[in-house]
Amino acid sequence: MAVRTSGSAVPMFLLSSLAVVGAAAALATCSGRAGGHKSAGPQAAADLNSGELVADTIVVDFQDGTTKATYDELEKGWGIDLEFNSVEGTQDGITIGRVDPARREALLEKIRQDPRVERAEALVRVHADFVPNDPQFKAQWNLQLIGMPDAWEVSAGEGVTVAVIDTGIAYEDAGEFRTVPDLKGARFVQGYDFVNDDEHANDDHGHGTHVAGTIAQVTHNGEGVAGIAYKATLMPIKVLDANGSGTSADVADGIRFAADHGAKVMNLSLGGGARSQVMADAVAYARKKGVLVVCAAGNGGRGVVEFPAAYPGALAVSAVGPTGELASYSSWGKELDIAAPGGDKRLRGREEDGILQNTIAPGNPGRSVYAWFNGTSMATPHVAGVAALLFAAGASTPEEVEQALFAGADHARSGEWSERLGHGVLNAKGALQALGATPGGSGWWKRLASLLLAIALWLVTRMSLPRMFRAGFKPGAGFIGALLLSAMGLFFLPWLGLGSVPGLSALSKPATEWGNWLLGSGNWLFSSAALPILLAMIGLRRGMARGALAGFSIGLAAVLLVKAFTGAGVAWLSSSVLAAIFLALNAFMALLMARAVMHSAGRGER
Amino acid sequence: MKLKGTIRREDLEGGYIVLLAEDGQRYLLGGATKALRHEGLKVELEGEIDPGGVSIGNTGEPLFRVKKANKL
Repeated sequence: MAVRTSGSAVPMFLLSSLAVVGAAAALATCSGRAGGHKSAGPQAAADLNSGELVADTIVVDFQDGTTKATYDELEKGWGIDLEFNSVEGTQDGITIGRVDPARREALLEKIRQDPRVERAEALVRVHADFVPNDPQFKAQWNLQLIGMPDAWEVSAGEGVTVAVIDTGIAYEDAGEFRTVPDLKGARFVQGYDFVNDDEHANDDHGHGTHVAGTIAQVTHNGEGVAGIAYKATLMPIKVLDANGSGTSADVADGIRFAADHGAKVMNLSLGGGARSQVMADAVAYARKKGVLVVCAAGNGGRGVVEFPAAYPGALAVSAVGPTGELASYSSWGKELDIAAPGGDKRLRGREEDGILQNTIAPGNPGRSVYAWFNGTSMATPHVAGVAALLFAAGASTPEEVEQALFAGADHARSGEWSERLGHGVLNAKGALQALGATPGGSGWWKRLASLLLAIALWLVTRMSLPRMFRAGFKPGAGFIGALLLSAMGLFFLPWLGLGSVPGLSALSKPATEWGNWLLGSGNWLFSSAALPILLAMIGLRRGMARGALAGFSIGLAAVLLVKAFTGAGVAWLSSSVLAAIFLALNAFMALLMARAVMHSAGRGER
Repeated sequence: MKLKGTIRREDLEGGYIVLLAEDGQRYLLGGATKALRHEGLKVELEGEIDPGGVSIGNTGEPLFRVKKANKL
């Protein structure tokens, strides 16, 4: 090989190690910040607007444990009818009541005189910064449970394709089929109908449309309900017939189709049957291509996770009801990863405890209904939707998305995994915080860490080459441009509306992600020092290109080190420790590569 | 194979039907089930168990693909 690594490698290695330690400390600081969302009560309050006064209602906070009989007696003297604000009232003594706005202040003053009253004030209505105007959003307890209003401040899933592998979606007006009103205007890409073998994956059941609605119902459109990743793109894949059943072969085909056509997330709200190696291979194939495969754990109400959720590479989801407890019908078990709202209509005998979305009427694909469904199929799209938010917010691999989902889940702070809830109950806001995504700044800390590390590595390399400048190497525009390009990517492409163009979107990310759309995430070619070495071998280390090659190599080394310290995966390396070692070694090789190129420049080689 | 039993409507997943067979085994149903939507319907079904079958029911119970159904 023509690459020369003259000069002592030992001092450089030591200095590099110091840089690595420094970077690790910086990353640990970032991670620490990201992991702290559970104790963020005040933070949650800060996310709310200051609120508006409700003129005709007051809130009276009695001493804890005050009984209804006690305040009923007091009411008579005050001329007001108070009631506990919620079931918590018997414990915390908080009541509310209607008043004439004209005498509100005088009445409050009078109430405050009673020693049993801790606080009395006008009621203030608070709301999150973004509240969709969909009229039935209030009924979507499930979205509140996973912290959606706050999460929308960060991401709505733009540029991410989610495949719904199900009974189809009511997404087009064709023949007897009609787009349901609350999916009009949603983003769709071409899918496929594996039941009827055509390109029109219309829904003749209703299940798939309901699932799709949870993921990407058109939101803030003054119609119906909201969806989690409402700016994501849906890919309808029909593998289940009008009865809601299908074959393992069609499901496997559907998974491979979605993986080959740009899906980053796939939702499989289906399962059962015996283990199928064909389907297991399809799940592994999708995962290798960088797709997160989200599957329903099953509705058996027993400690067995059904297939495909139980296959390696699948993310298994159990269901909780409005109380956050595991629903009685939900399957659970050793392969379980996370829990999400699936509804539980049996618990209190209430329809409203299901999940409300827009779908088609049973047996009539042309008629729209808003229906409350419950099942692990309903829990699964919550996770798929939040996964889309995470990809849109800067996550680049399914491993990264999984880590954020698990770290952000409620109850996750205890660090305990359980067979019933996995890593905990899904929390969209927590997951985004765990990723380090903030409003307007999603995923940027990794890019910033890569850039700072690249500068540190360049300085280290420069220090090990004291005669470099005397010999004529000057870091010009090519060097700086290539360093920025490899460390940060063409980050401005999404701002130009080019963030979802296949291939081009990959270039908006650091160099290690460029090959994902062709070779899958974590592929060895782009997760190693192979690229700069290949470029050097074809002659780019000479002439004008060598500065760019040196800058590219240093930027790549920085990104590889950041990946190593953030637990990113490498295809074919099942162990995260081995992956970290692989990435760190390749970072070192990329650095040696840069040093050799700069050194040859310093020696005046042409 | 033939199965005799009673149709049950489950409230999960927007609703699906199962057969509670005379031997006590429950079967998820696929195939020709259009006429089998009524709770409590007594039927005799002709068809096959599909070991590779998947469904929205997703209970782990066997999926019986109905070819012919007779009301009893």
